[in-house]
Amino acid sequence: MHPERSGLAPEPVIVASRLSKQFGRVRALRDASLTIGQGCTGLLGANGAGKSTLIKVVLGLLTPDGGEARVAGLDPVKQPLALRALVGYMPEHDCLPSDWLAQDFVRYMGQLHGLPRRAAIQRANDTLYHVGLGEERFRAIGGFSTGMKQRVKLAQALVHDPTIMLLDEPTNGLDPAGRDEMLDLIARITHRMGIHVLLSSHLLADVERVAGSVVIMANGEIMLQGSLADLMTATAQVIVRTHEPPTALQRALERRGYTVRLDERDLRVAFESPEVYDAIRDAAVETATGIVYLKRRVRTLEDIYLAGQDSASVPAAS
Amino acid sequence: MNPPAGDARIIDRGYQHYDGVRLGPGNGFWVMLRAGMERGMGIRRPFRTKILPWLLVLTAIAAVLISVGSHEANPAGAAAPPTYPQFLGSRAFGLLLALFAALVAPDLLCPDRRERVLTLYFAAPITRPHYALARLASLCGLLLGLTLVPPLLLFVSNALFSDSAVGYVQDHLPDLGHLVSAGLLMALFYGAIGCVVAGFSDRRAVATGSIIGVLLVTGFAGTVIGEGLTFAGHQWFVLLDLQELPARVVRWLFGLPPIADSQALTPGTLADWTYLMALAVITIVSVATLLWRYQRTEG
Repeated sequence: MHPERSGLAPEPVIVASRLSKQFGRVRALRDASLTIGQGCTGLLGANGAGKSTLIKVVLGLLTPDGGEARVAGLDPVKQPLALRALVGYMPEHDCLPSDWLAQDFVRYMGQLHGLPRRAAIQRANDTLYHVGLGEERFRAIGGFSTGMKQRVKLAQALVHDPTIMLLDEPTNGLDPAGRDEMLDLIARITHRMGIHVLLSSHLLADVERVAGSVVIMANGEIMLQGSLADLMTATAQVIVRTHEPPTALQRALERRGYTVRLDERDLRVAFESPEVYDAIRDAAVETATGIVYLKRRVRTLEDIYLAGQDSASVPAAS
Repeated sequence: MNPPAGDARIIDRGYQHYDGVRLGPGNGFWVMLRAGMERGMGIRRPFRTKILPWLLVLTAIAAVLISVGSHEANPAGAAAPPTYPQFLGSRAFGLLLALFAALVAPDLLCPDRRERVLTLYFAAPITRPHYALARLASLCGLLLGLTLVPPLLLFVSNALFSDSAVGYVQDHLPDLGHLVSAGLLMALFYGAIGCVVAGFSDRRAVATGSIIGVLLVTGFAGTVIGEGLTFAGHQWFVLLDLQELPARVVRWLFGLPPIADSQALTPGTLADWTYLMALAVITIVSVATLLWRYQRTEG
């Protein structure tokens, strides 16, 4: 039985502290500390940001040069085999044997994860059915489309009923319909099957659609992490458009201690509390600036991602 | 009209969590070993993948049956069946084992590297040594079938066609032990060489060619330098002849003198156990190299 489902695993699901990993002269991870809770978490970052390295370290496939991690309460360095029995991993690249039947391969992966043969056969059939390959399970994988192969990769990660799934770019190479279906599957895995998911992607829309939390990486560092709702609220802004150039208004607001940025004609004032509206009114009166409109804007994941990329301008949320 | 409630069935059970037994990491080794043996013989694979391995197995068995059968059918006209060391140490049998290893080892190792399936295997509760040793054990297991079944068939045939089967078995029990020992050593030797060479290539054809090439080149080098030249210590170079080495060990196991053939190897120039040591060292070094290779393979 899974430790987590039996109540033995501590919360949260993954905790990493000051992880570092270097390949030659390239520092793939730089003191990466993160906490990943239950449900689906998006791991965002451009290519080369260190997402795949982080996943491999968490899985115990790579030994970190420094720092430590705990996954479902297990140490990937000291207990890699026990950990991998609880984790399902879907790599980014093609990794399926072309001359195997889908059912045979998924059954085989179930057995490698510790299921007895009969249970593995039963679960391979069930899992392939759940990912939408029930009818095609007795066909050779080599004849599958990209979308079907992605589903087989998902099925082999799911067959042993893992506690956590690490999905590395699961929508890679899929057409829009296939991408939709894959994201639906991931949402179902999280919400209906109760399996925690770490979804690595460089596609903001994918993460925004299925993830409740997000971790943003750049250059091997964790730039930003937290619940998506909190991050969007925490980084909300009030946009102010004025008749006159808003330089004087900007200075007045900055004197009052607000973070203000001039973006073309608009001022973007950090929304820290509703009092910001009073401050804007008072500053406008003080500088005799006419206001055309002001509106609160909740930032999108794209804004947060871009802010995360520029750590100097936006402090990391906890 | 709705069916009566008693006939109701649940068609979609939804996703079910698994709360059954989970076997330990050691289980993965045996699963992989069994899968490798099935793969090597083309089981659960297309027909074309079954042809060559089964052809080689059937050839070895047919050689024994034809030899014994023809002699029994015509004792005066047909040659006597080979002795055990003659059979196991023959060039034909060595070639058959080499071909089997060259055929199966690449099939076990190369596609996993080429298609990057290793990523998935190493993300399971399987270590790199587990994987490499399971593949080696699969090949050695199949080779063991090939090195044991035909000689044992010869033994049983000899017993059945002797005056007293029980008496034959009692008189030749030591031979039985030698047969099993020789079979085990030959299977390990060819298995280790096949796997270590195949472990360095992603392509089956290249790996197959390389295995055969290694055996041919070492055989040629061993013969030319060890037997053709006469400088001091030249006799040590016969140990390079990987084709002939198992035959020399077989002869030693059965208590026969070293090979003294037309190539002018002087009998007794090397101690008898040297051949066994050489075979053991080559096997161990090959296995160690295989493990080293997979320890450095990215998953």
